[in-house]
Amino acid sequence: MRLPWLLLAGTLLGGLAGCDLPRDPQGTLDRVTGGTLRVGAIIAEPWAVREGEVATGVEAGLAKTFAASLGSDVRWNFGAEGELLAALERHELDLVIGGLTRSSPWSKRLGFTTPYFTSQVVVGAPAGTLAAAGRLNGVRVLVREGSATAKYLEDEGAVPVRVPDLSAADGPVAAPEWELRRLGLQPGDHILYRRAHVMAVPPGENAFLVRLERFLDGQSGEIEGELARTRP
Amino acid sequence: MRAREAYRLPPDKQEKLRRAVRLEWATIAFMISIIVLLYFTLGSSQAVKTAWFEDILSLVPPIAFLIARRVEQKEPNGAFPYGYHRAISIAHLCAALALFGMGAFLLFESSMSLIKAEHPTIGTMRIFGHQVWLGWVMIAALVYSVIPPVILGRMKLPLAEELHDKVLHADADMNKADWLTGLAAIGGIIGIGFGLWWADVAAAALISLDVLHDGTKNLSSAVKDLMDRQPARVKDGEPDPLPDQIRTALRTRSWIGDADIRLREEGHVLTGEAFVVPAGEPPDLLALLEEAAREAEAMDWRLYDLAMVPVRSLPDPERGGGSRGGDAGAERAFTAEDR
Repeated sequence: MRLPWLLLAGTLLGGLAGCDLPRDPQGTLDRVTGGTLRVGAIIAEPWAVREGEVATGVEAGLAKTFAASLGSDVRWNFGAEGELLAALERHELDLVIGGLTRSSPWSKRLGFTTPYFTSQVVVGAPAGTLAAAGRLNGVRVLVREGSATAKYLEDEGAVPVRVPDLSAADGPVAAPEWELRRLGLQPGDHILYRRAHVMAVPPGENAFLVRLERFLDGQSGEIEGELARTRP
Repeated sequence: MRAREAYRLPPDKQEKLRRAVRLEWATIAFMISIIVLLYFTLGSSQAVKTAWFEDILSLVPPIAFLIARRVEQKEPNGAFPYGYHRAISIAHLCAALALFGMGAFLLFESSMSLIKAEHPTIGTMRIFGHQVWLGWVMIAALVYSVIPPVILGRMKLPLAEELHDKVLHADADMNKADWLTGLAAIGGIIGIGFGLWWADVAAAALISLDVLHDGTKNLSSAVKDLMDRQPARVKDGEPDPLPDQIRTALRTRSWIGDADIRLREEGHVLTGEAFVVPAGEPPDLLALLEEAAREAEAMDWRLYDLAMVPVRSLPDPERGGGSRGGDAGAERAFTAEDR
């Protein structure tokens, strides 16, 4: 590789960087801008909640603000995760929200944003009663029934107590940090696992994805506050 | 068992071999740095993934070369009376298999993606406080991954020919495949940038054909060398002219009535038998044979342990079977069918 070649390649790349890349194969960003954003909402408190024909919640709020930034109106569709994501894969929706995390097996078939918010699932307790970090062995910890968290607790040697409702808890509870705070509990330091929250876009619509990721990046500071404002 | 005499490379070739060893270590070091770098920029781009996998596979030839080099240096002994030269041929087979496997994998993966019409999704990455499109990051990483193989491959090619080293040559082919796939991946990502989802996989599929071709060529050559075919040149796999030259040189001697030769490759070296029919009854035939063997071996540095066999007559070329003409004819037929 000689110098002229390197210069030529450099100039070409530089020229490309000047172009407005990436672009969408199906033109989602162009169509949505100033038009309609078709959002699929999976009901998952506190991320997306249905109120009549519209969605509220942390991610619904983000989607509304994002649509506003593009000058577009939101058209809400509610449904099951599989149904909405299958529609997204076939470009029948532009965005799906509702507590999706990066570990979803759908990530290979759709476009997932980079995580805009990562919640840490920890053990918390009323202020002042928190046991020393990492000492979970044999401790009875309350956990919402039907949650994967129970298995993580067992792996760490704790005794998960599966309950339908965490609001009456007076001892250690395992839940995401934001939820513990909402329950008035103090989160501990020991992280059981993380949930990296993402939104889903149609596969290959890279311009739209980049636009959404840039938007979400600017919002990351607000998420904790928004979560604290939610009520179960 | 009586072991062969140990083979010594001429000093200038030893120096070249040391350079080749240094080049291979450099290759391993660069490849590992590229593998690590690409790992962190791997997205859902098919071409980048393939380029990455290929960089891992491209560690096989240099490793095979370095191991074979170690083994080859051992002197012949009772357990291995013919020495360890074949280690190089085995390493060539390994390298060829890696190259072939890579081409096949590349072709399969990219055609599958093309058939399934997978739209690669490439988002952003946070770098120095900016959300940068990951495509740019991938291109930067790929540009880095392209440069070392271009340079290393070009440095290896002349060395491989001078050292008659087919592993090194296969490795240079592997480097070529490396930078070609790297460039194709860059083109593919730029294509994705312009909204052409198929650019990526199409580029990978195209490159895979070239890699598969190199792999097949090397694989066939490695297998044939292990089957003791006539010596072939490193550069293009054509028959080496050396056996003919030796035969001609032998026939010009006044005490030799007729002569023929049978050679095979053992890694770097060529070995085999020369058959001579003495003209009349020369006095001190042993001394003449020894001198002829010495002079024949001096014709090329690769010649090693050439056995000088005095025979009453060479088989009649007119008759088939094991005749000389038959041999040569068989060889010609083999080559013709083969190419």
